[in-house]
Amino acid sequence: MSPETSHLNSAPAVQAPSSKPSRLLAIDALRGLIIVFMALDHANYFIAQKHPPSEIWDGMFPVYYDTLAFLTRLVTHLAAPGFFLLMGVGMVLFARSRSERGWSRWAIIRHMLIRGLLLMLLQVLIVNRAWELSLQGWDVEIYIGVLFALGICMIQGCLLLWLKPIYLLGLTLILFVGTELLHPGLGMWDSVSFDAVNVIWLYPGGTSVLWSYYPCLPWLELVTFGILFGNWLVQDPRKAFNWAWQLGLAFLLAFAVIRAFDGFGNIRPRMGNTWIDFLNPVKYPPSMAFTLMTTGVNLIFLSLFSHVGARLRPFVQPLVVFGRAPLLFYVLHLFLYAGIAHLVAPQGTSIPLMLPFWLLGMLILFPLCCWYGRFKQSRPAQSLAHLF
Amino acid sequence: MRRTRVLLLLLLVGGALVIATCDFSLPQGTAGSITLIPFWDEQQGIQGVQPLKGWTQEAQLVQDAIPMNRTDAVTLLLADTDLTAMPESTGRYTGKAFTWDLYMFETHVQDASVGAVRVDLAVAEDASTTYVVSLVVLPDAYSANPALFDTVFTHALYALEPME
Repeated sequence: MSPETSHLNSAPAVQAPSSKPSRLLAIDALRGLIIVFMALDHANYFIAQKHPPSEIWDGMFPVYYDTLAFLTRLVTHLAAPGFFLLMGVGMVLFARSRSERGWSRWAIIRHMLIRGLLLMLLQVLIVNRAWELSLQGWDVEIYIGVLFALGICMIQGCLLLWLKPIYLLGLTLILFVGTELLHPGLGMWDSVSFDAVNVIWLYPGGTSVLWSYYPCLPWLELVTFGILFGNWLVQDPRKAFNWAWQLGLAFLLAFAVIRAFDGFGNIRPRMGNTWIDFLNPVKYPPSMAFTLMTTGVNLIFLSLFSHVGARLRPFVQPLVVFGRAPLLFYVLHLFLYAGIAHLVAPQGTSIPLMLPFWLLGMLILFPLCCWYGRFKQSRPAQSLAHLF
Repeated sequence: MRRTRVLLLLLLVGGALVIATCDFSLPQGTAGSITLIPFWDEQQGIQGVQPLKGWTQEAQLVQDAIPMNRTDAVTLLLADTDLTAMPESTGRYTGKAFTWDLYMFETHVQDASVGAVRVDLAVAEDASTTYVVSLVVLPDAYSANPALFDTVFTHALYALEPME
């Protein structure tokens, strides 16, 4: 890969120093927002114990008779695809920043390989211990969750960082359509093999020994798209955020069309014809409809956050605090909500009664994230603190 | 910054106090969702969705394909009820494969201890087959959870279709 193949080395400076923080603010604010939504989902799981079954490619599927229960799930759908997308963007910005400080490509790749492995280990060694604290029971020995998949995607993605944008776009489209073509059909649950390679790479499912909701390949499309978007950002941030708005709307329109036809792009047919059924696509693996719906909204939020001026900044700042310490938040919030559930609501609560606990969890974690974000920024680029 | 910290601390303590005074023995409410699972009935040549086994003890969902015309199929159905003729249709519902005529009535079942049951019935037909979906519920159970039963019934109607 020659230097001309990417904007990482060849593009002019990203922005004037005065405007650089606002670019980071949009990305950190979106990451913070999806962290808040994710926390709601996990508070619903641990504390309320009202989490619906997963929206998976075969077998059980949730339908809703309560709007609040559905909306509580719907908003949290932004989280997982947002993390993969922003990881791709963040990898480009990280590589850019480090190459400006004189890091070699190999040093950048090595850092990301280590971080990817660390994410995978965290999932298996630490995060899975939190899931085991679930009061609803947890029967899986090894769970491949979002952190594990983010780790693998980072390891793969760091090798794609210097690809030309046109190749990134092609790869994103191949993965986007490929996810739809490669998953097994409805009704094939009992006939497919859930060996380690399949559940880690291709399709969700598994056994009580090994279970995955986040096989790597179907989610990689969002990382490659994030890398592509990161390249646009590096080249011309204003243009990139404008595209974010337009692309977001286009994605939502495409979602509506795919959902209305209820065929290719949905993985399995809608369960009914209410507005809730329309907005309730297959998430595991991410169907085209799911990816378009969630990424469309995430891109629009990203564009909106890029327009936050000094007056609105204090309102967005709490999100930025969470967005700058995502890994710390992720690991701690699971144990925190599991602990709260054991202490105050072992039988579960209603969804409205869960909401104060959700907020309390974030209030507890806010000062920790605030401190860790500052600590991380104060450390040199080589510091291990940047791995977390 | 100092003011923000004090405010946060106050919120934290206040939140903890509010939570400490809450009565967590309050009714939990329902989960808000129900789990459906696809089924394929090769004998009857139909496919659709049904709730997981044991979803409730108080209702029964039946989905049938009867290989006869609508008049004969309805006569067969009425034989199991107190009715001598079908009541007025309460409306229509368009599913993926069929437009259903909807009926609702109460009837007694053979088990005397059960008493009256509420029946939601949907009927559709194609060239040679009459499709029938019925949801039989104890009236008290229905009035306690109308949305839940309605959810199961309408989703079953939406999804039922002849096997490909």
